Amino acid sequence: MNETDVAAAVEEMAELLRLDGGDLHLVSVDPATDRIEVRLDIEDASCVECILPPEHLRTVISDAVSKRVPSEFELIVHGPRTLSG
Amino acid sequence: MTALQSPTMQVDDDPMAFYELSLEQRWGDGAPLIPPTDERVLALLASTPYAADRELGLLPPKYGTLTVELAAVNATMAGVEPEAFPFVIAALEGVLSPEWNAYALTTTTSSVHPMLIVNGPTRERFGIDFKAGCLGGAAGRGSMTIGRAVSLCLRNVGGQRPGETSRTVFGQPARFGLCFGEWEERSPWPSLAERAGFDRAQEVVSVHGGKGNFPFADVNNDDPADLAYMIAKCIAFPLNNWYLEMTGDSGQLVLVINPIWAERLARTFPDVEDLQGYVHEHAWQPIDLFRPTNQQVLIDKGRVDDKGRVYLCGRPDQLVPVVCGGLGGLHGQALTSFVQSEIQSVEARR
Repeated sequence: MNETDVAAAVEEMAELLRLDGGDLHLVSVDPATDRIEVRLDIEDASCVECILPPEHLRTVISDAVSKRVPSEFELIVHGPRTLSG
Repeated sequence: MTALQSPTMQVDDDPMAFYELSLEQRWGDGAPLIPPTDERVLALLASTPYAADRELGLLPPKYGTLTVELAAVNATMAGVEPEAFPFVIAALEGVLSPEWNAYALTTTTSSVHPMLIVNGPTRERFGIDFKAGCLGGAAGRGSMTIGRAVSLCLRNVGGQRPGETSRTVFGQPARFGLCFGEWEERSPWPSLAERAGFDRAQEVVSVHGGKGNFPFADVNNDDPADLAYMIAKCIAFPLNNWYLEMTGDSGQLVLVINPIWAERLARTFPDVEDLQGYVHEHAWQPIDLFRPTNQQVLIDKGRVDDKGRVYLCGRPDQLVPVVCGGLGGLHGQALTSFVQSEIQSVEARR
């Protein structure tokens, strides 16, 4: 698992979230466990309702990462509600 | 340079010629083989500290003398990467351990065969699969060739042939060769090798006499203890080999647990012994489940306790969790036991 590819995918999603005042940060990439952790920040979001529900957001982030990372991985989204899968 | 002792033969420099010769002379496994030229065999021999003429033992069922050189010839034909050859030697040393009981396992009517489980830092380097599809389909070179090399040694040196020296009724897919790794980094418990007394820096092969792979699945049990309970009931199926035996005190069953289940189970069972104890505690069937004649057999063998329970096996440590597989969760497997065989863990020496 290439950390640069993961970071690029997360940044791609972060740019979208920033439009609504939110943000997404890459916390860690662990190639030994194929685990990716990101943190969702919506404290400054002008429109919290505009941010996708957590489960959908995880799917969207996961899809974005999958485009750049061909192998299987586990995505954990920290934030108002931690999600993994 | 070491002089090889094996007989040589001239074959056309065409992959099909060698493949067809192997079919004709019956020293193949039905799939294409790599011609074991001197250069290729010597490359494998260079990766082991053992001399080419070292005798590893007499390999059943016909008790052919297995030298390191013959192991290298068969490993070359299987496609083993030279630096991965020490895994083949370690696996063969495990097979040759008296406790593994190779004569019985190579001649029985059962489908049993060496199943190789690898621990250590070089799993990924050698393509020993431990993630998605690790029991078949992931296509790592190590997984596809190391087990195959052991199978070819049993065939070509030991003389194991179904319907002739082996009375196996069905055989099993793993007879082509099965080798997979443990995803140690995703295991919440000490690895299989660590539990056998090795450390994480060592390359270790554990050889399990496995009858086959028995899959199960679950989406209905959120509580980890409920999941462990259902696994226990699942592996205690009434025609398990353990219920055929006088006692349940020998052999092991490998519980193949995916990383997601392992993480869940570890919340309730932080120590692997806790999980083994719980699964063992519930791995039984009521005597009433069995038909009357079968009940009497189990009673006569002393397998029924005072509560009318027939335990699958004698001790928790006979149920051996190994964490591997993809991140999809939902699925587990049991590599069921031949019973009259003990898992052997051997270091791959360089």
